[in-house]
Amino acid sequence: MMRSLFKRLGWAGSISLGIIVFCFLLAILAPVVAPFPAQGMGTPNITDKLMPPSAEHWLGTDHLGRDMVSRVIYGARVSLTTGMLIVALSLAIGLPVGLLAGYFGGWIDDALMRVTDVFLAFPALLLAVLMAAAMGAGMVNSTVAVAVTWWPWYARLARAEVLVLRGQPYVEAARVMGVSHGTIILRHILPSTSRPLAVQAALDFGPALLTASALSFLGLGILPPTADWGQMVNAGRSFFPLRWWYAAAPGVTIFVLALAFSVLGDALRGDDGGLGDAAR
Amino acid sequence: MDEPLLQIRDLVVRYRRTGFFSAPPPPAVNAISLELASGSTLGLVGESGSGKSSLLRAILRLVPVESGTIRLDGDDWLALPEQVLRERRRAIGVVAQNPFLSLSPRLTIAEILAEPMTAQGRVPAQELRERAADMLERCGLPGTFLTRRARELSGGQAQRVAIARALVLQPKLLILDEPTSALDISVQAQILNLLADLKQELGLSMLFVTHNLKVVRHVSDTLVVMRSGRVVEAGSTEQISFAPAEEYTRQLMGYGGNLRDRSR
Repeated sequence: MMRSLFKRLGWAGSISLGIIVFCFLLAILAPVVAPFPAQGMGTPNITDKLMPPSAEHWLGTDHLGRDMVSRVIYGARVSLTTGMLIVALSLAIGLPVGLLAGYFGGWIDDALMRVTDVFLAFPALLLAVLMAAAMGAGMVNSTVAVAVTWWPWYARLARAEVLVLRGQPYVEAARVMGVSHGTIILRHILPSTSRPLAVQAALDFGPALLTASALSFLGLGILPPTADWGQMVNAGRSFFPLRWWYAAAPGVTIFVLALAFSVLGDALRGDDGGLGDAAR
Repeated sequence: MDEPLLQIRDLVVRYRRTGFFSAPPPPAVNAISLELASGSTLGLVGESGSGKSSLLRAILRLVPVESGTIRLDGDDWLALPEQVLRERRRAIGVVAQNPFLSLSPRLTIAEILAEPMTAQGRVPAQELRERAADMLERCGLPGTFLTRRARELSGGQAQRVAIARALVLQPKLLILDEPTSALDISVQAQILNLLADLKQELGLSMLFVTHNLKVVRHVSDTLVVMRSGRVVEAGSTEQISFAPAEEYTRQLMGYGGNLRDRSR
């Protein structure tokens, strides 16, 4: 099974998947694998501040003397959770909107899709910043702020899928048999939309992570002392380039992970016929 | 009980214009009237684009009707509100052209056969299975097929499943939309024989839609020939197949082309 998965994803996709799995494992096992768990969670250690990378601190320390490896590992917990929540929340809003609009058509479609268009008309990051600024900083608020700009894409994708499925003879057959709309949507339409939406979600995880990090970078996301990559980049900025490792460690991590999700998403999209078999 | 099972009067179906300034398209179904007596089989024949599919979709209430009436089993069919319609739909069973498209690829045959029953209300699982197996057997497939999926069946087997699904609620009217066109010749004959048997056994009324007059000749009592949305010819099957009044009807029969060649 591992071999066939590797074959489907190609070498780039497989490496990406490896990176992502590795990051998730680090995040889950943070208390065990982080060399200085207390510092990872925020306890200062002023005596060792701004130390360059060394055998003890592989990625150096920050301005409060905390081990950067531990900070980045603990930051993974926050960043991955935020990314997942953003995608999940976007799906939770976008999927029902797209299903209803596509299935019922007519004025329901017009009404829902015009609302969707309004959200799409705003630049996503600007809207997210506005929302976050209005609601105040914090993990939940920044998640909601990004999800608000994200769901229209899922609504449109779901709607497009439904429009194709609605005309399928087996869906029409169900209608002609007197099956209720709810049952048709849940039984015949929803299962067939899940695959393209799963691919989209994987593709979106990277950008979601980036946007959430951007909000934190601007001080609108996760607040110190909780470790968050975007916020760490911002804090390290003032010491750059002299103490380059402070901003570089979280920055490069964000870059690598966002890239990995993007490459994996592409690999899935290129061969989404295989995803269903692997998932079954 | 003299009223025919299905009675269509001056039915007009017209699709929406394509653009705001474009002229409305000609009606796909143009003032069609026809009757289907209880217990009989009506063959609806026409070339592709003749409007037979639109007529069918209008009867199934899948497309809006511009004018005209449909009476089905005593109901003013087009006036039924959505909720009532859903329940009355059990009066009609439908078999589509391609069973691999009309049967969900995700469900087992048992689930496919249960769907019309559960659509009409809660049915105990045991009874669902028994009725599904019973109808499947009547359609010539053993109960072991219940656990399979449509893609594991041959075309003929899948079409038998589709017929079983259409009949599982014991509808008064069975609508067949090119039920044999996607099958190869030997299987076509088997399906036609099965339909003839089921008609006898269950006292079905059938509306058989096809472009192939040869096929429908064997099963229908009366024929309606359609062309560009209108009825060209209607009457008993013998009359039309032995003495077709129209050249078009002859062509549908499959030997019109030859006649024309000879006259040249």
